[in-house]
Amino acid sequence: MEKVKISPFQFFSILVLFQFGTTLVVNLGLEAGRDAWIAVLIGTVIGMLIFSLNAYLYTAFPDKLPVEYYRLLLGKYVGSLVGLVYAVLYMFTAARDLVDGGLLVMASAALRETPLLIVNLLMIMAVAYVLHQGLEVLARTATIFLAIMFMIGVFSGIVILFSGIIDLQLLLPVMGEGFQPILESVLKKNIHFPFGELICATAIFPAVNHTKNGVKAGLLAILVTGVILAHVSLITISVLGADITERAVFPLLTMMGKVEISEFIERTQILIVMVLIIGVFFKISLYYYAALISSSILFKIPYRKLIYPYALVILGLSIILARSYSEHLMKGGAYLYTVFPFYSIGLPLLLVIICLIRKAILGRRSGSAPGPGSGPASGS
Amino acid sequence: MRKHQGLTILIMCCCLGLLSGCWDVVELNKRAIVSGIGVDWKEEEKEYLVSFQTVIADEISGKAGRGATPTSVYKASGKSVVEAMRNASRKVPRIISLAHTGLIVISDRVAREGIIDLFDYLDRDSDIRLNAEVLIATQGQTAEDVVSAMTPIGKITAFALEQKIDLTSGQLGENFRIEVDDVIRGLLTPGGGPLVNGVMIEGSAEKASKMETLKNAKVEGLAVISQMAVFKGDRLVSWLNADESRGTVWIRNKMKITPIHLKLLDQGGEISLEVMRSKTRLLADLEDPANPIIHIHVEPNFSIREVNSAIDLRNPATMKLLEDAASREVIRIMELAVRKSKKVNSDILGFGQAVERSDPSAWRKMKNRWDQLFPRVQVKYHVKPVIRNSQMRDRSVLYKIHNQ
Amino acid sequence: MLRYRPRGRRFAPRKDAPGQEASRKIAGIEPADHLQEHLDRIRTELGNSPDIIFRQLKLGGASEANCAIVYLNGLSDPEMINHDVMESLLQLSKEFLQKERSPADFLDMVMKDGLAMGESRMSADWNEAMLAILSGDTVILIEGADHIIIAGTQGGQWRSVTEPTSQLVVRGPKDSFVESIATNISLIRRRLKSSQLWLETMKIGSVTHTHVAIMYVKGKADPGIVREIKDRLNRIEIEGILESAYIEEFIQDKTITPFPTIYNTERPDDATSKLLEGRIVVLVDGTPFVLVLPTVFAHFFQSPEDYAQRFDIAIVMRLVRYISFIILILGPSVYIALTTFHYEMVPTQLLISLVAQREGVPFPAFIEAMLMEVVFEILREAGVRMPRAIGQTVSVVGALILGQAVVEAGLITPAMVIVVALTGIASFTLPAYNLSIAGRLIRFGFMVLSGMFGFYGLTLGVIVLIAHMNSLRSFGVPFMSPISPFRLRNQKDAIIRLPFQPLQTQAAESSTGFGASSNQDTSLAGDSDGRMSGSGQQGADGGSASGRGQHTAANGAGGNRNS
Repeated sequence: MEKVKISPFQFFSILVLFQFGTTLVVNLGLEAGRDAWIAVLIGTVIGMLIFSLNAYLYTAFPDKLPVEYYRLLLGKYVGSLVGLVYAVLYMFTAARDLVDGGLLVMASAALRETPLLIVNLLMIMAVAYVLHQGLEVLARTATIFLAIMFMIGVFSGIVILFSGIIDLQLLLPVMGEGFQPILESVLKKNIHFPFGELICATAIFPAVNHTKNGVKAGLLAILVTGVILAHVSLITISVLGADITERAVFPLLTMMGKVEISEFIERTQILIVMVLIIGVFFKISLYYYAALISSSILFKIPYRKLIYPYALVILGLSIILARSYSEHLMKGGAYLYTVFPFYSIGLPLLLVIICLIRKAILGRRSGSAPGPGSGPASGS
Repeated sequence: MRKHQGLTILIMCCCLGLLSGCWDVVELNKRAIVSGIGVDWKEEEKEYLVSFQTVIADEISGKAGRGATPTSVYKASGKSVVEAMRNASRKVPRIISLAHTGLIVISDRVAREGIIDLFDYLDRDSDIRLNAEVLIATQGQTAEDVVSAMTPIGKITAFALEQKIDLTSGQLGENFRIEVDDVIRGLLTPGGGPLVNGVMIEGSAEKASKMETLKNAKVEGLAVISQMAVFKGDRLVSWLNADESRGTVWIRNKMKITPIHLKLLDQGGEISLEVMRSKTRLLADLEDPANPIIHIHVEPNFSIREVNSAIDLRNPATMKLLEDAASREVIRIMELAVRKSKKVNSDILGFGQAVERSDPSAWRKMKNRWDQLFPRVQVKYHVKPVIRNSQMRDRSVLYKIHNQ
Repeated sequence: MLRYRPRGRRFAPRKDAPGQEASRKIAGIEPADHLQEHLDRIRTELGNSPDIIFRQLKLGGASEANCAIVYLNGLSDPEMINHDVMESLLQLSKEFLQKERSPADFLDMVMKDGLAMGESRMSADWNEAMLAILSGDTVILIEGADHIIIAGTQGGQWRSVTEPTSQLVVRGPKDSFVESIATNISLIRRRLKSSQLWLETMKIGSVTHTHVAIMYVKGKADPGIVREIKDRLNRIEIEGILESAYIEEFIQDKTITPFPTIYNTERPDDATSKLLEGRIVVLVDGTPFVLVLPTVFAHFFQSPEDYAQRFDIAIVMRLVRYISFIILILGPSVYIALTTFHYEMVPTQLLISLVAQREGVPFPAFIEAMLMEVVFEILREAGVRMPRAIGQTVSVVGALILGQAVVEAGLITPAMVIVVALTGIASFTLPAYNLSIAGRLIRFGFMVLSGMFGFYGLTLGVIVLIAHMNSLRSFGVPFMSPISPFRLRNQKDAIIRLPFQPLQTQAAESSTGFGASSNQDTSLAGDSDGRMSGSGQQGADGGSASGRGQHTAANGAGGNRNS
């Protein structure tokens, strides 16, 4: 394993781009209708709590990968098994996101006849190349793309504002349907997508060169992403109305299509397509990296040797996984609130509890053993 | 060595890409750019007849023009728009590309049959943008006539019509821009339906489609924007007249500029005002849930444009009088619109949304009964007119003549 | 004293037995063929080359103390040889030959008293002697002595310092490096008068023996990097170094990349400013291009002009360069992607005009772009290689007539010509030529990507490109710093240029050297005075030139007048 160090800011960038991947473009929490943005905000808060669980484990073992502390907390065999399960999960999710990305790209970027295999191959090759250069390069690339995203965001915001297509009336009434749909949306989708997915951030935690700021950067990343996502969904609904937004596969893309300033600045959807591709790229990268680094610890194989075999596996999985988009989405939805929460919330919670018990025992045994830092342990 | 390995694989993949070719490349000269779509109904076959107004780019900006028309209309029929489009491939040598469609004209006949399938297609299609303008061709005329009409100013009828709508909504106030997504939102209004601008051929439809018409200073056939069509659900139920259109525009808070003509009974004479700016708010009063009351608050700003009366425009009392007269006129216009929409029982005025905004839970209960409730809705008008200016003069010439 | 060694190519009487003291005596009994033998040997080893001048001198007719000087015509300075070597040798002989001395003493004496030369040394190494001759130094051989004297008479014809040809500025110093390493060092030293400016030299090239010098400011340059550079330079094994690019290729961090990871410049002011930033300059004899390292990406966008203009203007100029670079890389590929994949993104009116242009054009947009870009590269290459007199013709024929004809014939769309011309012009805005070549190469890759996958390929390409640039390092320094990893403190002169106040490390950026502040005072306070009299200005310059402590009279006067 290489000893790379990334700064909290780079960590922040990766996390933000990771969470933007797909979520920014596809519709989010629209079970809540025109109150989707509230659902997103609530999801953000819960996401921060979930993140705190993992952050607590990180502060307890600042320089250990998840697999390593699983072994420590759960014993060698159970720990390895859990690590393996996570590695498989990450790889599976990477493949899922690859399909997701591939299909989204094909639908939005005028690639209708190009085989999915080729589209995915191109993406996975790019990801593999960047990961081959190492985590540090990925992190630094993320900072640059964060800046690019920021510029795209500011530009789009200005353009939307000046084209006068925002109709705030469409947002009213707030919570007209009561709190029920929002809660449903939060539970079914918003917690897990994208915030619950941050479980794979644990794999890059040990590379962050400053424990405390790393945790802060992570929390800030969730907050910023949440606010931006809520904002985007707010604008989209106020342009298109809740009904069209809900039925749209890419509300943001459709919304940008409405932008028109004096027949000159129009058809700026291409920016959204780029945002989509960049986001998907970083999403796959992080899952892929998490799978790689976990496996490399588990099997004691250098990380770079695994890159290309894993690329092939992910590519193969992505082709098998879904044959059509709606099937894929259905599977994805079910997967999101059945299988995933166990791994994103359940296991970390369990580990935190074990860790607390262990600390208590150790503390009693050695009297004044230094505790595992003062991380935000408010998770449980 | 390891670095080379990665590079090799990368290069191999590039080669793979090259070998497999370029799937989605479509050169521009393989595309027929469609500027407008006309949808008609073929009675006998019960099929859509779709006319594609395609741009002949050569004639517009190329050097190799043959002196032909700048647009050409291809027709094809099918059970759906897609089928018609595929059928059109027998006639059009290039890929029909809809991404730049600026105009969708639907014939009155189709609109009366229902437009939901059509709009599902327009909404779903990844090429057609939601920005495309929707028009309904007047009764008795076909959408095909509209898309085949020539336009003296500008070259492409579809884009010229788009500009006409923008212009007339800003200048006359009997229309406002209705795009695909507006129609879809209209379709989803409980107890209501979309409002769509109308279009008609003034003069001879036959001559309008010929190049010769452009050689005349007096155009013999021209596509013009007419009043708006009212839908109930997805079916066209009625056409508005000029004042009803204006009232609707006013209540929907889309009013920018419109002229108002007042007859002064007391002082005698007539006066023309122009609305410079206007703001409309709808508030719902649900004290009696069975009889909702809608309050329409309008704050129009007027400017005096034409005075055919001896009134003293320097006198504040006169101004008050004028404002009162203007507010009566505004109420009259809006009443016409309300009466019409109640008559056809289609909530095109956005009363439902007003109720929803003021009391969401009550709305949830009455949403399904809105059809029955809507005709019984009481409307209260609150007009606060302000006469801002009288242009470059105050008293008119008549005033001088009278007082000499 | 060096002992006589028979083996090896030692410079000594050959046939004498060791320890034979008699051989060192001059007193007329010395066999005269030693000297002749050495001269013959030199002649044979250099292949009887006619430009080697052998001049035998008899130092005093009576004593018959034979002496010879050898030098290479053309590489050495004849003035120096005549006046400083020959004249002093001849002058010396008369008084000196009163006494009899051994050849060694004689040699010693000549070295200490006889030569009116600054740079001279004794040597007993045959190779060194040969190298000295080939470098333009003069070798003095004395009959019977086991050492020779090497007198530094390098000179001859060098191109004089002229205006730079590849890195032009409107305002700023107009001198540039030349082929002579000594001149180049002096150009830097003149600007950076500090004892902290350290210089180390070495010779690289088993055949060419090229002088290579490393300069850095002690205390500013990272000693680790200095050591690393020396290591890498020492590891070079090559027959000849003809250009600094040879060195560049050897010492750069080994990565497969089109990007230059070592900056080169022909401007002394540029090199000096980089020295002040703590970078290391590598000078190579025989080329006016010096290497600056470690290099970051932002260097390629900095022109010395930036510091000569107001900072706000400089920011705009820099942004123009960055935008040009993006246009250079992405211009044609974006056009291809827009026209063949994303026609829906083109504004309608523009699209109609593009469609009209494409009517009857036989090539697909991708091929069209490739063709035009290749044609453009051919034209550019032709323009560079052509003799200057017809270069003009090429550009006129190429740009105007060919472009016009191609469009008229309907082979290429006018829009494509515009795009290609734009990328071409954009490539010339970069101050660094080698980066613009890299950009032009990458451009083709992007064209392929966008020709196959539209914006999808393009976006992925950009991601990979940026990741690739992030993976580059120049002597351990990330190539993309300070943009990534982001360092706020170092942003003052990266993408934008802030005014000098916060840009302290660059305070002595322009040619004024350490006298910057005093010069500024002069120009601010005594503008009219200084300019009109001329001497005031010169005085201030002189003051800064002679160092901080010493105030020359002129400077004092100038300062007084100005205050």
